[in-house]
Amino acid sequence: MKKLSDIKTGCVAVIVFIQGGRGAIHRLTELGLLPGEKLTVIHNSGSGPVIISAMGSKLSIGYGLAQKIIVRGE
Amino acid sequence: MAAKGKITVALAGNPNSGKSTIFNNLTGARQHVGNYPGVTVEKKEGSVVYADHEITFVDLPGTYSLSANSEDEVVARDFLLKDRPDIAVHIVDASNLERNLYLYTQLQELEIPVVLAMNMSDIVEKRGSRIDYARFSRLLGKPVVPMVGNKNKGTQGLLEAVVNLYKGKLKAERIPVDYGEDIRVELDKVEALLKKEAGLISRYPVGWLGIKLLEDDPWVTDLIAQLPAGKAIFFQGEKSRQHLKQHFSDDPEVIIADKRYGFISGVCTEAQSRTAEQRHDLSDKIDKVILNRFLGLPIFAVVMYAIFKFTFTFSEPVVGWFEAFFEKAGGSAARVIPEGLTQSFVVDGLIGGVGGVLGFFPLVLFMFFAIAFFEDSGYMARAAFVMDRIMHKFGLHGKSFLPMMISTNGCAVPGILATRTLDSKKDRLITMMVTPFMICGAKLPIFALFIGAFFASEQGANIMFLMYVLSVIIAFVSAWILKKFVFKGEPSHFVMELPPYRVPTIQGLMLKMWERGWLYIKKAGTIILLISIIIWGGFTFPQRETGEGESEEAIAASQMEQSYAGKIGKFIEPAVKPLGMDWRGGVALMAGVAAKEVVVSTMGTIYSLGEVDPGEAEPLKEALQKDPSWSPLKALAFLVFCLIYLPCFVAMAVFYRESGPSLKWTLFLIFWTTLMAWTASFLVYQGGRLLALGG
Repeated sequence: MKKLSDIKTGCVAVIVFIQGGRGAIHRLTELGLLPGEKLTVIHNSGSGPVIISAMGSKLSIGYGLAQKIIVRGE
Repeated sequence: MAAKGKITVALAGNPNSGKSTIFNNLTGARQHVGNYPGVTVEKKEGSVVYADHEITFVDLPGTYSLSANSEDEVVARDFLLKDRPDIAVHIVDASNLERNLYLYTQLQELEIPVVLAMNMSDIVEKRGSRIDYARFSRLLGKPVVPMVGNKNKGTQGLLEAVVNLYKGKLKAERIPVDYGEDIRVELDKVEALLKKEAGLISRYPVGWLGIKLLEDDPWVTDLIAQLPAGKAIFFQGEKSRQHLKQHFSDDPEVIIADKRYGFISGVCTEAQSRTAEQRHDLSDKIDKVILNRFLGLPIFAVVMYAIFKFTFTFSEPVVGWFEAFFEKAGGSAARVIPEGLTQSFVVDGLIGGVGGVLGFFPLVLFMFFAIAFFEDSGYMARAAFVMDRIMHKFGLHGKSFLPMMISTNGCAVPGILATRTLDSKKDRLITMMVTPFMICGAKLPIFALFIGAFFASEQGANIMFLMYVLSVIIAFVSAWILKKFVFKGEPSHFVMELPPYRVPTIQGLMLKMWERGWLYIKKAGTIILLISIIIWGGFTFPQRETGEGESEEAIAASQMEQSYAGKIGKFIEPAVKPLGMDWRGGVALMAGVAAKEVVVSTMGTIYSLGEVDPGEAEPLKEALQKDPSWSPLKALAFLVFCLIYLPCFVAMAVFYRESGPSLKWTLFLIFWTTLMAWTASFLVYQGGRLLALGG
């Protein structure tokens, strides 16, 4: 298992859990980022926000938050 | 013929679902912008008469859900729960169905009849996918209307569905989300207790209260806590939550959301045919370039520069016509009205003051058009991404970029309000503190006036651009200092949807431009008019005795100096002298705190009063050029001061309310901006003199 922030551009991953407080979980949940959701990393430069594609649209996730999303590779 | 029935309809939907376009299609120009009671979130209303019914649409803030986690969500939810609209129209981006329907699952729990407006149905088809709308409608138990908002298709169909649902010709049936046996059992326990509270369940749907209690919704928990038997209900809720947590080994909120998405996914699989994998669409290709690590920032700079170039180059002739018009108006008024106080009031106070501000109306319109173009195209969300890394270095947030962008050329008031999307209080305060540094639409005329007067026209756009760059630098440095010494701590989370690129519609751009432009005119006709009158009075009274043999010019000059406003100006002159300003600059700056355009109108009044023959009033720009007490360097120092100093009254009032309300932070803002403005202006003027750039 890895952090979303460590997944390279072009890779596909599945969310395992979110390591955050209520606020973080809520923000991600309402955008469809739940455990089990498959996502593709569109852009990750190793610092700054990570862009992913999930549930049919693109999301920009701040680096700090991306470190709290635990995923497994596909 | 009078309308038979009045229907109130709430428009709900995600951000980027095309909600405002559909709202515009439905109501046209018959819109009214106000505020929701108690908060400053904008409330847009519009009405239309259709099939003998007067339908009032209320545009709710765009949200992803209806929990109580952000101000926008609370506003949308409160309206639905407390005002109980007859019908809710849920605007869904059909090309992004699953995420959009999450809001639907919560909307229907509020037990308001819902019509689903499936926007962007053309994009779905273009992607080779197909939605069986009839089946979709059956599965959800709601009327469904396919639409293409930006081509104004489906508007009639939506109105018809609304009226038919209201009249009972169409039915909205409630097909609840199946939360599964385990959650159902716990829900029953909670609901059994809730049902004893007759007063409560007459106001709120019991099923909704139950699910919110399991989700640990802060607003509902507070509501329950106020009941006499609240403790028992609260404990049952806690017990159920604990039970679910153990059973699923996950947070109940996550499990409930999971069930909702499950329901949505079931409906989508049945009603939507998908072609293989989604192709790499155009948006992806554009993003590869725009979000590129090395190209992102240069492209951003080019886009910003293009906005200024467009605005200044194209608006120049039109601004010239407006100036000429007000100049003529002043001349004619002076000929028609006999010399005396009335003439001075009209020519110097009204035309000189308000006219000076209205003269820049075309420039503001062009700017709004350019900004609207980049907003509607989807670029602005990318810009926030591109800027995030830099913003972070200065203790700001990718999302802080949006309030700053709204404030730039727009207004700091919605900018400060937009900081609500930031989750942490510290991030919010820092962003609120630096947002007023941006060059808002009201500061624009000041810059246009002084740059026009003291710099060659080829240089104009460049100097203006430099001013924007400076405003950003000041904001960043300021944020960095605040973060370092005042608000310590880590910046918070940020997640944002990047909408697909779209070609903006002319109608949409025009409406946006006009909406914002109209506010500018309204402001000129109200607050700026009022202040212009006060300023004129301040310079005109007390009237001075005219001595024998004095020249008219000397009379005009000494009249101003010994007037009320002149005395105030003289009093503060020592404070602004090191910045290269005299008492007139000081007065204009003070008056500008009421509204920034007033700096221009005050200058207009001062120079118009100084004119000996009002019939031959020259444009303010030329009057400034001829005045030997100004120089390009002084103008620059003056502009730098205008750029940074105190936000206007309205912005300060909003800041006060949004910061807590906190008097402490508001006073800090006043102190901070004044300090920064004085220092920067001092450095420019004195530094310039040292470098012998002129006095």
